[in-house]
Amino acid sequence: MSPANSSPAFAEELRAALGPRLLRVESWQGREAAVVEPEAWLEAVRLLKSRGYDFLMDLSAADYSGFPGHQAPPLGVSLQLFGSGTRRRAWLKAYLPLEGARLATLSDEFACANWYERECWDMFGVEFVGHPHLKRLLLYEEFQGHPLRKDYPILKSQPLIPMRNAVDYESVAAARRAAADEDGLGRG
Amino acid sequence: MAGDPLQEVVVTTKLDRVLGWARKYSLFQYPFVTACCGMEFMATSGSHYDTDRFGAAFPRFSPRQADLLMVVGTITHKQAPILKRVYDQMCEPKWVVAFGVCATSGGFYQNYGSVPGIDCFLPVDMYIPGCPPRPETVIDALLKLQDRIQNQRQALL
Ligand code: SF4
Repeated sequence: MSPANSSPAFAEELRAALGPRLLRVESWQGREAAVVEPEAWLEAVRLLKSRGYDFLMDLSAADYSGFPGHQAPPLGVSLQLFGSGTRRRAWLKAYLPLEGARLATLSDEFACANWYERECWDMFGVEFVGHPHLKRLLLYEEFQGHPLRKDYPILKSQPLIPMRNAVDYESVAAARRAAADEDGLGRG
Repeated sequence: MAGDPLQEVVVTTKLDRVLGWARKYSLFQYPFVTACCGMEFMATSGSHYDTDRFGAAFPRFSPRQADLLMVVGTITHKQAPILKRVYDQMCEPKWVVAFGVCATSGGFYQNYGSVPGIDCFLPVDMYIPGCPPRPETVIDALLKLQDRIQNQRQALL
């Protein structure tokens, strides 16, 4: 949409404040997001908040392991801020490694971040340092692992009570992999 | 026997049949509603389709007063122990209906979260296909279930 060399205003403000800790501005289907160093996460949010982006619309993550052409660390956490006075939006992103994925909590800045971060911990295993109550939001405490990470076996479930005629998903998955290898289609 | 005065006033039947007749027209439902199928369940129970005319609509929100467990919607692994507990609290005789493909087989959910069909941990008497099923399908299933209750061997406890 906009030419590659013109960043959105929120990214320019971040660049002025963070310098090289603003790593780059990413564009995906015409939407630009400022990628910051994980250590600058809280600082960037505080800065944007002070510039009128006073509402946290969403905070989520995606595991980019195996994503074609992806260079940065695999776990991308992103958020969207909205300025209720200016009616502008800002997108912020940070990439984390799978092992020891850590970010500062935003729950002191935005109360609603509390549950977003719990969900993000639940599904992706991002540890939000300083979070007052970092506990699984949707899944149960007995659950092992974080199911929306790419390395979580896609068919694996963890029942709490005995299940009859339950499908042995490990062998189904193994059979599928074998069939895919035979077809030369890779692991898919 | 012609002229037998008793034949005018007494109907003879089998105990099994009369119990079946009583049981099939006094189904008390426990609606275990977890997902979108619930909308269709409400539509079916509402006045337009009115399952009351089949003697099978009265909802009881205590499992101890119910004999028909309607499992309406997706059951997750987190929910499964709760549903099992509800089932265990119901008194015999009891029946279970899996309403919609989610309760029947997990439907299109095959992942870490959902149970691939409630028959993994409950005995199911009637499966209703559809996502969600139309009220006609539900009524059809209810009638088939009543037919089954009528003709089953009635356990006397
Ligand atoms: S069967 Fe379809 S309508 Fe019913 S609970 Fe599942 S997804 Fe919803």
